[in-house]
Amino acid sequence: MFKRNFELTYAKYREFFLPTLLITASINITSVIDSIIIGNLIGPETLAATVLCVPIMTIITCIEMILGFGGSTVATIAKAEHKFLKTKQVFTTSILVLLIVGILMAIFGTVFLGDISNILSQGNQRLFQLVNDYLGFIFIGTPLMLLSLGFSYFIRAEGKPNLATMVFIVANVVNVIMDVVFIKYVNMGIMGGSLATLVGYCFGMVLIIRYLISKDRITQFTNKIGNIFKTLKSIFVLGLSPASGQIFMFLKILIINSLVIITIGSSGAVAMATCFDVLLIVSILVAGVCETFSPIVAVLYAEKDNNAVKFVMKHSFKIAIIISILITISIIILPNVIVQIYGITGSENINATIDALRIFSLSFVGVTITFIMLFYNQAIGQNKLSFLISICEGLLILIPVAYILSNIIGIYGIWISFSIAEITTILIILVSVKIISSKSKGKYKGFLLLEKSDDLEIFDLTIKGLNEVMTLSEKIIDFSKSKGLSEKTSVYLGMAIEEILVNIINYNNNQNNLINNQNKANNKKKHAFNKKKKLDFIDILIKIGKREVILSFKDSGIEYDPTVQSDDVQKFDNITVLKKISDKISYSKILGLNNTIITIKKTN
Amino acid sequence: MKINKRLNGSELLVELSGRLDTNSSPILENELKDDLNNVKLLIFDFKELMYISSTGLRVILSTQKIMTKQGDMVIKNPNELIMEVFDATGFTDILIIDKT
Repeated sequence: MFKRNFELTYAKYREFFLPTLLITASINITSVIDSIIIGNLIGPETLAATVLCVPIMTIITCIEMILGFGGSTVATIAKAEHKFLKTKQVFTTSILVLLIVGILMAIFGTVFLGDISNILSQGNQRLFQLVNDYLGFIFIGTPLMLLSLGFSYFIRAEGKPNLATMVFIVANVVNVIMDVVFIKYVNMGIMGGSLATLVGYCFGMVLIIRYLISKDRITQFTNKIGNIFKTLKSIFVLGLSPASGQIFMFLKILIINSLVIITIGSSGAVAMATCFDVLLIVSILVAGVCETFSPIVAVLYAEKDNNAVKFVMKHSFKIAIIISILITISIIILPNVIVQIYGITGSENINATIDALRIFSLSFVGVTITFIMLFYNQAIGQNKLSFLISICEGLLILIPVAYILSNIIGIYGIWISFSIAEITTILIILVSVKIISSKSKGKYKGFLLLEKSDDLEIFDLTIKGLNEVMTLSEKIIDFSKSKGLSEKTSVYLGMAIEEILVNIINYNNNQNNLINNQNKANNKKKHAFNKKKKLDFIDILIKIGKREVILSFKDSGIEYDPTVQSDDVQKFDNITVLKKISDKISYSKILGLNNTIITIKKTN
Repeated sequence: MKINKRLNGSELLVELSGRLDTNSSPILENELKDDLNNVKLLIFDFKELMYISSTGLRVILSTQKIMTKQGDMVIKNPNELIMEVFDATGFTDILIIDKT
């Protein structure tokens, strides 16, 4: 009768997906938009110049990912553990370091603009000038880009994903409009593209400043900064692994670009630029899926909620692989559309790009699988495997294979090497998982390395409302007795389930009624409305261990911590009785979900 | 839950069987509301009661408050499990319980 429906987990996934996708992709999307508009308004050579600047954009994305993604994740965990000063310290450190690094990059980039442009354009004079013009405003705008994206991660973690999405939309819409204004009407050339990016992020920052000075703001700055190096270390540990993929991407682009230019010259550079731009689109979508499941899986894996981990990963693989297959098929059938979108002209350029796109796109499904496994292993703490995937896919296999094949079969060898690198990396993952699994002597099992539970019985289910609670309480008592638990333990389990669930449901009903009444009063006074929080489902995980039974409850309702004693408790209310019959109660608010865990020791 | 009531003069015997939980407690509360007038001794027989939750405890407690003003209240024959709950929650210190 009772089953887990995973609606709560799926709702969290949906809530996180779009804002995460947009924040993760922000810099890359800016780069793709610039490439398309610049390619069409100015010409294919400028398109090649913007792609030559991808390594710089990748460095900016890396820094924003380490400090923004890493910092906001550490802050979320600290908040879940009720370490509020640490939350403020992590927030302050992340933003401060983003600002300092941004300013240093702006100074360093402006002073050494010529040298950097020369390295990126491989000494090609025409490309040098274009790269030089494009990077000037990008460097000046680096502090702004880093701060707006860094803040967006924290705003998302504070439970305001829509505002984070808005920052992105405003920055990019303004960027597109200003691209056209600066390039077409002010005739600024490629320089107009990067100035438009800078203006776009200025507008995004206005939204952030409005939020920072508003009353809605949750995380505050602190001047009690503590040990900044210790804080930075914890931020780096969480943020570096996902960023390492970006670092290898940076090196990959740098090396493969050189190899392509050496092999067939400028038409190869145009083909390469288009291929990498299409890869960026695939990466944006896959990275969005990965950063969405990453915090959810980290929490579920730590709780040994294996069924939920399997559900989230199955869903993530399904979405990402379907996306990549569709993109691959579209490119194989209609490469001309891509060529037209990017405004590529000249038969040599067009032919080289069409051939490259068709072969290169075959690697996208592989890219999707390796990317997901990289993020998954980082989320479950298999950092070494995560790093191995990252370095194999990005450098160790691709570069030597591309070099060897380019010498044997020319440019086609380079395009084929991308698929070879992905297939080999997937094989390495399979072998590594097998090795980890057998070395752990049964602790980890399967492709997802799920931790084998010591529990004798696991029962997971979802309930929808109060009418199901009593039936569940009865069923659990019968189930526990049938599994050999004592009558006392069985009845206490039934009671604990009734007390906590009735409390959660009644508390939400009462609070929402209060909000309703307030809103009616506010309506009369024309004041702002308060938002109600909907309690749709409660997920329950029951683990019967050797010595104790652990009951875990997750709900999306109004925040309620049963471990904190309320001042106006009724005698023998649900929580008072629950505390008397259970051995331990803990509570945390993670990813916007109330998470209550009750432990009851088994008696004879 | 089944409720059996027997009024003998000013003495009311209430036999409960099954579960006294969030669903059944309001039913008991309603049943007792009209029947407690002029009752001097209220006896709850818990012999067949298998389960009690906090809502049930609160109904018993509120009934006891009424009975304190007009007479006495006794709980008879609670089984071992119900006694465990009474002990754990501190209910035994508040009520008169006849275990025999």
